[in-house]
Order: sequence, then C-alpha cells, then structure tokens
Amino acid sequence: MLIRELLFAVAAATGTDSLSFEPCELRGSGRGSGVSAECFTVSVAEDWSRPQGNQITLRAARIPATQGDSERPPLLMIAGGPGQSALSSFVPHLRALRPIRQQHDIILVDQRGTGDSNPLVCPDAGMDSISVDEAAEHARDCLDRIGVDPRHYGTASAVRDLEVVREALGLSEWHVYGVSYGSRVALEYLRGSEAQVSSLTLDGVVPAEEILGPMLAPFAQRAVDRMLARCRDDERCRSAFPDLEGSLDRVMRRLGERDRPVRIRHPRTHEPTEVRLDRDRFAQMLRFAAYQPEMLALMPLKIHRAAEEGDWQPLAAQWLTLGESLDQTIATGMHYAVICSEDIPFLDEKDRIAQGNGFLGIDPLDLLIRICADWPVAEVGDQRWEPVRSDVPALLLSGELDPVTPPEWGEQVASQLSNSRHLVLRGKGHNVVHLGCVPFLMRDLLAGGEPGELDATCLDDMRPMPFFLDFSGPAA
Amino acid sequence: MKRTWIVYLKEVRDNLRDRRTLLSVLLFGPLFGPILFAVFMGTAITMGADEIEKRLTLPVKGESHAPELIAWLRENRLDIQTFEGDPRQAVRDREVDYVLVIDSGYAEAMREGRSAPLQLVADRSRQRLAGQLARVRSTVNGWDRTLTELRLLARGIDSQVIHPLQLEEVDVSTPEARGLMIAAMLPYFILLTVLMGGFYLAIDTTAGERERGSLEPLLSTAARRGEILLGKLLATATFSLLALMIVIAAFSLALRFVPMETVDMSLSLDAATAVKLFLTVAPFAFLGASVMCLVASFTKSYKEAQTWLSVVMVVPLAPMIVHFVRPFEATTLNLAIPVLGQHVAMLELLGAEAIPTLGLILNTALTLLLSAVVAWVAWLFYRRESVLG
Repeated sequence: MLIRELLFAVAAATGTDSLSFEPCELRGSGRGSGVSAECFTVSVAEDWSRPQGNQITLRAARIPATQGDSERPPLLMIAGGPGQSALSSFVPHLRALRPIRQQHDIILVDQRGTGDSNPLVCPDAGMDSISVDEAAEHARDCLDRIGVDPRHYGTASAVRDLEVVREALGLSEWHVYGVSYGSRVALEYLRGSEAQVSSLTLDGVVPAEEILGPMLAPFAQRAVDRMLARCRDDERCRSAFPDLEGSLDRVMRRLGERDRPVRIRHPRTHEPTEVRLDRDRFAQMLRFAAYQPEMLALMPLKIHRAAEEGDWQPLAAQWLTLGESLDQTIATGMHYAVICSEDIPFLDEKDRIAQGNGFLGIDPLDLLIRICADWPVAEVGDQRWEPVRSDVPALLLSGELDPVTPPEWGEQVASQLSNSRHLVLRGKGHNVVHLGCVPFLMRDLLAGGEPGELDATCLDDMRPMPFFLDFSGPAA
Repeated sequence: MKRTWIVYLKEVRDNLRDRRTLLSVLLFGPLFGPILFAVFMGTAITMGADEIEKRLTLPVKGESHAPELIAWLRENRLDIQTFEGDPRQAVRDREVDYVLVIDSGYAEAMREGRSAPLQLVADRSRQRLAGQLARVRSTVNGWDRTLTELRLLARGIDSQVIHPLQLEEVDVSTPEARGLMIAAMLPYFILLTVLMGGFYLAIDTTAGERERGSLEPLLSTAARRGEILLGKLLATATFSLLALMIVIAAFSLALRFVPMETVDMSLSLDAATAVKLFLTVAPFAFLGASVMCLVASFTKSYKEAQTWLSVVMVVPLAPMIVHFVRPFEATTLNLAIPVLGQHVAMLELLGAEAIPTLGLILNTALTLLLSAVVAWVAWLFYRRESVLG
C-alpha cells in the first residue's frame, strides 16, 4: 500500500513541470457571454492502481481573480451530473459569482469522462426512444463505442485526479465547491484531503451514505404533491384551476390508456411537427420541471389545458424543449459509469418497495437497473458509505423545492460537519449558488467568516416563481 | 560657465530661503493632485462597490397594482417603500431620489398580454444616483426577461427565437488598461506640477528682480547676459525637476490607497516605472523653464509676468483635450511632438505598455531643441536694454 502511495506521489510530481497555461475562452451551452481564462492540461493515470499505465489528459482552467494577483487560495468548482463539464456548466453563473471572483481565482477541472477530459459521450439516444429496452440497448452500444473500462471513471479516481491538479498548480490548499453529484465528489475529496480544504460549499447536497436513484421517484412525487398543495393554498391559482389534482389524474389516465400524437409547431423552427405523448414522457416532463420552479410555474396551466380543454400542444412543445436542453449537457457514458458502480448495485429490495405508486412509478429506476445490468461495476470501498465528518468551515445550500437533492439531505450532512451552516432557499429548486445574496455569503465564508455568523437574513424574501394563471403570466 | 554656476547657486539658494514659496511649490503643489486623486477615486470606488452590495430602498407608487413584480424586487435585495403623492414633484424637490410608478392599468395590460406600463421617475442629472438607478433598472428588466421566457415557453416557443443573434463581446483588456481609463488626468497633473515647480522662481528671478531693482547691478557685472540667463533657467528647471520627482513619488504612494481592484481595475506605479516616468518628463522641465524665462524676460512687472504665465499653464491641458476628443495610440510620430509626446508616453507607461524607443529619443531631442530655441529667443530679449524695464 505504501509503495503505491509513493508511486502516486512520483506520478503527481512529474505532472508539475509540464504545466503550462494557454489563454482560452470558456463558453456555456446557452446564451450569455463567455469568460476569458487560462486553460491547462494535467496528465493522470487512467487506472490509478497502475500509475505508469495508460495516461489520460484532463482539461482544466483557471479564471484569474479580477483583482489581479490574489494571494488567497482559489476556489475549485466541481460540476454535477454525473457527466457535466465544469468548464462549460459554470459559465452562466460566473457573472453572479463576481463577489467571489474578485478575490479568488476559480479552478475548473473537466472531471475524467466529461467535457474535454476523455469524455465518455454516448450517441444521443434521444428523449424520444425512451422505452426501457431501447434505452438499455443504446447504453450497451455506447459501452462498446467508448471502448474504455468505465470502472476507472468513478468518484474515487476523480478525487485522486483533483489532488494531482492541486499539486500541479503548486497549491497547499484551496476552497472547494460542489454542486449536486459534485457535492459527493467534494465530500469524498474532503474525506481524503481535509488539510487541503480551506472551506467547503455544497449546493444541492448528496450525503455520502445516500445513493442517487431510489429516491428519484419519491422525491419527484413529493415535488408534485407540493405543487398541488401550493396551488390549492393560493386563491388565484385555485380559482384558475379549481380541480388541478383531478386534471393531473385525468392527464395521467388518458396518456396511460393510449399514446397521443400531437401536431404542433416546433418551438424553435415553427415547422409542423408531430410529438407522441405518453405517460412516461409526461412523467419525465413533470420530474424535470420540478428542478426549476420557473418551469413548474407553467405546469398547472399546461395540465389544465390538456385535461379540461383537450389542448395537448403546450405539453407537447414542452417535451421537445426539455429534450433539447437535456441533450446538450451530460456525458451519458460517464453518467452510467458512476451510477452503475456507486449507486445502482446498492439498491435493495426495500428501496424499491418504498417507491410506491406515485406518478413516476419505478420507471426511472427500472431504466437505470436495466442499463447498468450491462455495465462493468467497479469495486467501491466500504469507507464510501461512512458519513464524512469534519470541522472545516462549510456552507450547505439547498433549494426548498429541489426534487433531487432535497433540504433533508443538506440537513443530514450539516449534522456531520461540525462547523457548518445549512441555508434553505425558500421556493427555489436545484442549484442555488447564484441566487440573491448567496454569492456574497460565500465570499464572506471564503474570506474566513464563521459559517454560524454569516448574516443570511438577506434570503428571507426568497419565494417560488408564482404560477402562470394563463398565457400572460401570474396575476400581476 | 563658472559664472552661470554662480548665478545658478545664488538663485537656488534664494529660492530655498523663501520657505513659504518653497512649501507651496514643492509640497502643496505636487501633493495636491495625488491626494485629490486618491481621496476622490477611493471614495467613488468604495461608494460604487457599496451600492452593488447594500440593500436599496425603492419608493414605489401603486405597489398594489403589481404584487408579483414587488415580490421579485424584494427577492433581489430592494426594500420597497410605499410612496404617496406626486412623484415628479417629490423627485424635483429631492424629497426622494427616485420613484417607481406602477400604473393602475398594469394588471389589466399584463392579463391581456400587452406590455404593462411602468415609470421610473428620477433626475438623471444626479450622478450620485447612477449606480442605484442602474440596479433598479436591471432588476425590473430581470422580471421582464423571466416573464418573456416563460410566456414564450407557455405558448410552446423556444425563447431562442427572439434572439436571432448572439453577439459576444470578448474583453481582453487587462485590469491595468482599464485602470488607465480613469488615470487619464494623471499626466495633466504631472505636467502642471512641473510648471508650477519653476513658476515662482522664473518670475522672481527676472520680473521680480527687475521690480526690486536688483537686476540692473547683476547685469552690469562681468558675467555675460547669456550666462546669467542660463543660470536662472537652470535654477528654474531644477525646481521643476524637484517638483516632478515629488509628484511622481506622491502618486506612486497615493495609488496604493485606491481600491481599484474593486472595480476590476489596476493602476500602480512601481519604482522602475517611476524612474522611467521621471526620465520621460524631465526634458519638459527644461522646456517649461525656458518658456517661463522667456515670458518673464519681456514682461514689465511681476504682476504682468504672472498673468502671462497663467496662460502658459494651459499648455499641459492641450494634449489632454486632444487625447480626449480624438484618442490615439502612441506612435513614433506623436511621441516625438513635445508636450503631446510626454502626455502619451506617461499614459503608456502607466498602462505598462511598451513605447517605441525611437519616439522617446526623438521626443527628448526635440523637446530639448525647442527649449534651446525658446531660450535663445529669451536671450535676444535679455540682450536688449529694455530687459531692465
């Protein structure tokens, strides 16, 4: 074991002298301006148990602090997914993170298997071929196509890679931020390299002892229940959609009985397009809408139109828009590499029974189980399931309505980190670091502020996006 | 030459003896600009940064017409204050800085899918409020954008279709270069200080001596008039150079107290740059000295000389105005032009840019040559008996 560690050290040391920065421009997938950065690459062993074996190149970037030569430790930002590219997924939020960027360089590393770091990209299976069998076949083809051993593309390897990057940059410590699945990576990194972490910020928290997957359906169900309740409690929403719950049932039932071809104008091209709506697709739509309260704000209206007026076009259009937005962002192969080794094998029967008969049923989980059946499974150490305990200053962020990483999970991790503060943003969804005054709070944390003493009263006015009562918007 | 040296030493000694003049020339003058700069820029920047971070209070008339908009503004760190009365008059009378007026037709327009009317009443001539108004505006626009996207999405239209183009501006400026934008007045301060440094000496040694009647005995000594003039000129230049040295030192110190980083800018003057700056501007000290000696040589009295020289003081302003009206980069050609060249060179040095060396050499040569020509004209005046008044 010791010898192996030594070899790692050597491998890490040889990385340092080759580090060179190239000016580059980082761009997000959507609109908005890019950001100038200094890109660099770091070479790491694909298989960490054979450090001298095949090497892969990680692409990384440093966004210099706007102040210029900052002496303070930089902020490492870890993307989620699993499968998102850090170099592109954070770009839309960088403007909001200005307060932090003034004093701190930001380091982005495309995690192995994502972005430009040997990405495990599967050809687009398309949201349209979503039957379980089809999806499993696609995943199998993809496994052949990527031609790597996916067992080396999990969280443990990624964490080792981060240490190589840190040493290559000559940093003794840095601040660490992780969003969604990235919070698992950040926690694992903290577990192994506590001394190197100046502060920790988790956004959409995944506790080490939890697995992504089984809770998808119950959490999504709860998001939908909450939406129904919010509409019931709101006078205007109630009078606009007097029987939203009934409408939802009717939509589900009708789509369950038969597929519904809907002719619409394509949301982008305006070309006549036909969309096949079915129950699964509708459930997916509802599930993803819950990530963003803005999307959720449209759902009562769309459900109402379909159920009460037979107008399925708004839902059909949403299906196309959703498909396009999901396709762009995730390296699916890397996604499966992580989920199939670290989450799915640990589902037990009990978890599956707990799913109940909510609107999603057990579909998304079934899908993952089928896909993962064909994927090689990496060994995951027992330590993986131990809660990460630390007294590093930590800020935990949750969106109240987040259907994937709900506030309870943030609470759970907060109880394990002794010097932490958990903030729940009322009415917000998944990923909240850029909202309201959160960047200022995070800046204060990075400047050495005690988590317990951060003044979070500025978050009191947060609220959910109000429901659209008709096609013009919320009341006024 | 020895006699030039004697005159020189005498003038310098005399001037040093006059404590008050000395203080004003070598202390207040060179320190005034840098301190002014540090204090004003520092305050402006700090205030700007505070404005972005602090919660703003926004007076709103007709709050009840747009509850969702109000909630959005609150969420984005604007405190809403109910406003009653005539917003225009209140803003004119400065009872409030600005008022957001929500028309009673807002809700109806919103429901019908028309653009809902909103007014932001403010006095745009009040510079102090520019930052706050920008924040109010951008927050309201944020709600506008959110509603636009969602309205389109509700109708089954991808919001990308209303943005046919995506122009991305890639700003490759460095913090140093951006810092230069607000440092444009630095060269003016420096050139002015150089002139001020020699100003009193130039008047005193000619027009002043003439008035006091001490010029005549001096001119009737064995020293040739050219030698005397040169001595006075060099003494004047010496004080100009001293003032230059002090003002550069003061600026390099003062710049440390301006938190330019806060606005993503950087402006600093390290020792090496300070030395380069001094060497670049030094020839101007000689030019200034000869011009001032020339003016002092043909004017009849201390007062008249003062009047004339205040006109000369405008000279360093000229390149600043030219640069303002028609910005240009440093080229060998414009660097070569005396005064303008110094101005441009200073800007480039502060921006840590490379300057064409030939331009600098030409500038030094031409500036010194021009000084010599002006000094020669002054000498022509000195040769006339009328120099005695």
